[in-house]
Parts: sequence; structure tokens; C-alpha cells
Amino acid sequence: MNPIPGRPPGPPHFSSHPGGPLGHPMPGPTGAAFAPPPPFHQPNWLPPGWTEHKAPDGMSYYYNAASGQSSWIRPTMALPAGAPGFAPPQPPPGVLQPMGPPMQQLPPGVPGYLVNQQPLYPPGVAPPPSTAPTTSNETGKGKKGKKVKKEKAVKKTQVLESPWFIVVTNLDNTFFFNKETKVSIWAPTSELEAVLAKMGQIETDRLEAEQKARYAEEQERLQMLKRPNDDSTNGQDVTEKRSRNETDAANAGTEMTEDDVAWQLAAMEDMMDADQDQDQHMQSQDEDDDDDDEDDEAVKERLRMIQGSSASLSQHSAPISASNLAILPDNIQEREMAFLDMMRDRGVTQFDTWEKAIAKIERDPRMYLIPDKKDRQELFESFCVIRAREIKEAKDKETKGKEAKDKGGERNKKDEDRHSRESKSHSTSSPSSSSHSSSKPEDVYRRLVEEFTTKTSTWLDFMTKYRVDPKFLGLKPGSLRESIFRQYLADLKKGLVKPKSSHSYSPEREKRSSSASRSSSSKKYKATQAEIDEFTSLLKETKKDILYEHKNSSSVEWRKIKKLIDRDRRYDAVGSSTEREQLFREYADRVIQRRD
Amino acid sequence: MPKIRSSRTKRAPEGFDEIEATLLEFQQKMKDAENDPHEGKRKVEALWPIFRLHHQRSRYVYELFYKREAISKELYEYLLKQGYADGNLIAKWKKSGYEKVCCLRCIQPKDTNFGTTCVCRVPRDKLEEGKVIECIHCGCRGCSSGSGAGVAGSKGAVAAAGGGSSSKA
Repeated sequence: MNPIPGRPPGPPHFSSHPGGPLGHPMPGPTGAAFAPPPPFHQPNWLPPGWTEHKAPDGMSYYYNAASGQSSWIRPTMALPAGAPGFAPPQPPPGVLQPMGPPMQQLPPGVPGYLVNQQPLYPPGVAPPPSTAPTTSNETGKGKKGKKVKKEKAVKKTQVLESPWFIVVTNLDNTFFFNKETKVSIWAPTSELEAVLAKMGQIETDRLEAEQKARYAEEQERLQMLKRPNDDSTNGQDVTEKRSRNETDAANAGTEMTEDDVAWQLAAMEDMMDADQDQDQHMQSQDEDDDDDDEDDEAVKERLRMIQGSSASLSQHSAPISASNLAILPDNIQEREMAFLDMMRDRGVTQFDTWEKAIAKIERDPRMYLIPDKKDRQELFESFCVIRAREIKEAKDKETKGKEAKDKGGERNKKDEDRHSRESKSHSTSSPSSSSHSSSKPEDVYRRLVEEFTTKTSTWLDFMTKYRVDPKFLGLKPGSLRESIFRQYLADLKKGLVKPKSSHSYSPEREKRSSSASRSSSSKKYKATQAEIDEFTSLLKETKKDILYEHKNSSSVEWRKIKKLIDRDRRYDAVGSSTEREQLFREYADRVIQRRD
Repeated sequence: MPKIRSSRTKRAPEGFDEIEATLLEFQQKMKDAENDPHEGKRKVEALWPIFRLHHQRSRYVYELFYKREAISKELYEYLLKQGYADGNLIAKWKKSGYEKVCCLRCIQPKDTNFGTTCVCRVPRDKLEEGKVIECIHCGCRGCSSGSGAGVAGSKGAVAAAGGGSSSKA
């Protein structure tokens, strides 16, 4: 039944109405015969099966959906043989499509159609599902005995921000469905068209932008390669290119990786002359040798294949940019290279999980170069390995470079790295006054001692800390180690030796040590105000621990707090240990009182 | 487990900052899984996300160290010690044939009636039924090395890994 009165009669409905998964009326099986009586009976008017329409010239004509006849004459119960005298106007495909199996029973000449007013049905195709599911149901369900494939929706995409959906069915029909009004039509209304046009525009814009970006990237790369090409010499060319491209490479570390080499090999094929190809081959063979040392089988395999393919590429001289851009390259190696490049571009790090990586690359169309999801994952894994290696190599290079610059500083850095993590102090590197020339184990050991020792250090501490250190162990007779240490310690205390250790707070100590022989518990020895301030600033950092301790055990133990701070530089600011404890007590009391 | 830092805990080795974000994410997810209401789930089913996240988290650390070599040994041991990954589970992954084992319960013969392993350890091709198995311990759908369990986040990982790419397909 047509619910809306003024509307042109809806099409006769399809017989069977499979309840689609979407829960809205689906187009009936296309093979079904239409059957049905008209959607509504205009009372006292037309015999069943006939409907009335207005022809373009204003006259109205009548059309029988069942027999496909169109007539100028209004039919009575027995329909007159359709007005064949004059060519009856072709019924505007507007509303009245014959429900027939499409392509078979075309209405008499359905040509073009009116664009605007009514929903449009492409000729020959059965009309979209009606808005009133019930009518379609009952009619002719039993009519067609043939079993037809149920049409189901396969894919629904929403037109941006409107209640309209574009539905694709498993029988390859596409129609538009409005979720709110539950209307389904074959062709969009004008406003829907506008929205669709906008949507399409956005898509194309996006794709265009991406294409442009990729194109620009390609151009850049080609430029890079073209530049070194200007040099003439053969063998050096390749290595030069390598080194230059190293520095040019944005993301990857400064080391050339197998990927970069392979990519360049492939790209360079077009640029280079024939005789240069030989050099390249030699290079690639070298790469093969390197690869054999690698653990990663997949990368090795890939590289070999790439080199194989790059040889073949030289004949084709197809620029690699084209292959990346529009057309899917047939060569799987190229595709993998492109995929890896994409991951690099999108900033996939080796710390990402696969989900994160997907999130980063999913918008990039290059992702589809590799169709299989498992392959993608595997590629991602090997990419991570490569990246990790690159970064490690880059770091090693860096540290080596620094080493070359200042050897003394570097050694200090190494020592600090080792025990800066354990100790809380971030000591500044001591002035590298000591030369790096001496490499005798004793001197090396001595320097270690000097670095570590302060006036309050003990042999036991030193030994436990460094007994695994190669410098410590370098000095062969074990007894020597202790004696050297003790000697140095004594010198320090006597003030004979200027302490090189960064732990010590030297200038003040010098003054003090010159006046007194030993640092501990001497009344002659009062810390200066500056030193006290230093120490208290250190104490303030322990405030939280004090409170914590206090909460747990009502008496705060200096012993425990001491352990936390005794590695700090400022701990030694105050020389006397009793004084330290005193200062701590006062501070702790103040803290507790303030709290309570 | 103690992700709380006090002045007593040792500082994390370098390289921790880069992975900290991911680890934090895992922690969040774990909290969510723990606080999920039990409505609509079987009694055992409520625990499955926990096992799954545990597996994923340990897998992440394992891959970082053993496969990608992206973290140092020191950092790796720190992570193990602090409870960011399960050392026992990782030890199983190092064995051949157990590379993708889902959890430690499923390979424990004492937990079964006949002293075997869990059904999820059966390879896909031996399992002819065609229906999807979810083992009762952890909800795993097949973790034998030959049954094509995913790389990251196996155990019915259609949701996680497939979530991103499904719409593209």
C-alpha cells in the first residue's frame, strides 16, 4: 500500500522479501518475476494492474505493469488492447518500472528518464525495495517456485554525516538507503547527489594529495641520486653515492643498510651507464658476502632477490618512481621495499607493537602493496630488526666519534656511566688533567682510585664496588691494590695530594685538612656556614624519607637516611660525622614537628 | 609489579623511556580488564582478558629483546625484575615447539584429567572439527607453533590486530 497519497504509485513489489541482515527491505531476487497487484487501488478507477501517469505533454496515459502495456485509453475491466494507434508515450520510468526480471521485460521503450522529480530507476533494473515491507511480502510469495539466491547486503558505507548509506549487495547491486526514513532508492536524489559529490571530492582530494606527496618524495630521491651522478669516475662513484646518501638519509641512521643499498642499486640502474653496472655488480656481490654474516635470513633472501631483480631492471630502465606511484609493481621485492620505506616515513619505530604500527600506516595507500596480512606482519618484524640495528650502529658511531675527539673525557664518561646509575650523584667529570698516554695497569688503577676516593672512603667499599672492573683487575698482584689504595687515602687525608675524585668537595676540604690531621669527630673542626647550607640542602631532599620512616617506626634513624645520601657530593661538605648527625637530627625534628 | 617509584627503587636503565608509553598502556588495559563487570560472561571467561594481556605484555618485552634486539640486556632484566614481563613464560617461548604458547597453565599436565596439555595446544590441522576452540584456562584458540597463531597478541587476536586493518580490507 502506498502510504503517501499524493505520491505517484509505487512500483509493484517483488514477491519474496528476504529479511536481509540489515533488517530493511532488500531488493527482491532479481530473477523473480514480478507478480503483484498494484500497490493501491484507486477506488472505482482502474482495473487491477493499471496505473495512470502523466506524459510529458500533459496528457495522462495508463500503464499495465503486468502486461507491460501502455495506453492512452483508460482501461475498463477488460483492458483494451493498448492504444497502439498512436505510440503511447513511454511511461516515464519514474515510478513504474515493470517488475520484471530485468533485461527481459522492458517496458515499451524505456529510454532516458526524468532526472529530478522522481526516484530514478536505471532502465531494466528492478526497482529498489519498497518502503512498505508488508505488501511485498504477501504478494506472490508462492508464485515463483524457483529458488533464487538471497540477496544480502555486503557492505554499507555511510555518506558523510547524513542518514544515507550506500549499500552493496552480494549480487552486485548498489543502492542508497536512508536509515531514518527507511527509504531505499536506486539513484540519489538531488541533495543526496550533492552530498555524494562532496564525498567523492574529498576522497579524490585526499588521494591526490597523497599521490603528490609521494611523487614529491620520489622526485627528491631521484634528485639525490642525480647529483652524485655528475661525477665521472667509475668505481668511486658508487661509494661516493653511498656516503652522500648516508648523510642525506633522513630517518635511518648514518649507516647504510641493506635496504638503502638495495634501493639505490635498483634506482641507480636507470641512471648509470653500462660500464658502471659492472661496478655495481661487484658491489652487490660484496653485499652478499656481508649478508652471510647476518642472522636474519629473511633480509638476506630479500636482498639477493632484489639484486637479482635489479640486474633485470637494467634492461628495462623503468624509472622506479613510476612503479611506486600509480601502478602496482609486479615485482614483489620492489613492493616490499616500498612497504619498508613507507614504514620508515610514517615513523614506525622498533618499539611499536603491531597494532600501533598499523595505526600509523593504515592511511598510506602503499600499505596495499602487500596484500596478505601475515606478510605485512612479517615485514614489519624484519623492519624493526633492521631499524634496531641501524640505530645501534649509529650510536656506536657516535660514541666512537666522540672518543676520537677527546679521549680523556671519554674515559671519564665510561666510568661515570658505570657507576652513575648506582650512585645518586651526577658527578661532573673531573678535569681530564691526567694524560691518556699512560696505559700501564698500575697507573690505570691509580687513576681509578683517585677518582673514587674521598676522605671518607674505605678499602672495603672500594673493593666491593670495583672488583669486577677490568681496571681494578688489571693490576696483577692483588696485594698491591690495597696498598696503593691505602697509601692514596692517607695522602689525601694528610692533604698531600689534591683529591681528583669528583665526590669530594675539594677546596673547602683542603683548608680543613691542612689544619687538622683527621677529618672525623674533631672539635677543632667546625664546618663553615656554606658547608652547612650545602648539607642541609641535601637533607631537604630526604624529607619524604624522613616522614616515611617516622610514620612507620616513630623514630627516624640516621643510619637509614644516611645510606640514601652518602654518595652525594654534598654529603662530604660537612666533614665531621658527628656534626652531620647533629644537623640531621635537628632537621628531622623540625620536619616532624611541622608535620605534627 | 611495583610500578611505584620511591627513593629506594633503582633508577631504570636507559632506553626505558621509549617503551614506557607502551608499558603504561598495557597497565591501563590490565586495570580495565580487572575492573570489568562479570555480567554476561562465564565464570572462567572473565579471566581470559587477564591472561591475554599478560601474554601480550610479555610478548612485547620478549620481542624487543630477543627478536628485534631493541633494548639492552640490562633493561630487559630490569623489566623482568619489576614485573613488566613474565620470565617463566618467556623461558617457554625460547624452546622449540613452544614459541607461541599462550599461558603457563595450558602446558601444565597436572591441570588436566588425563595428564595431557590443554586443547589449545593441538595443531589446527589435527583438530578436524572445524569449530573454534576456546580453551577454558585462558580462552586461547590455538597456540601451537604450527597452527598459525599471530605474531603479536595471539589467542584469538582477531580483535586487536585485525581491528585496524579490517576496515581497509
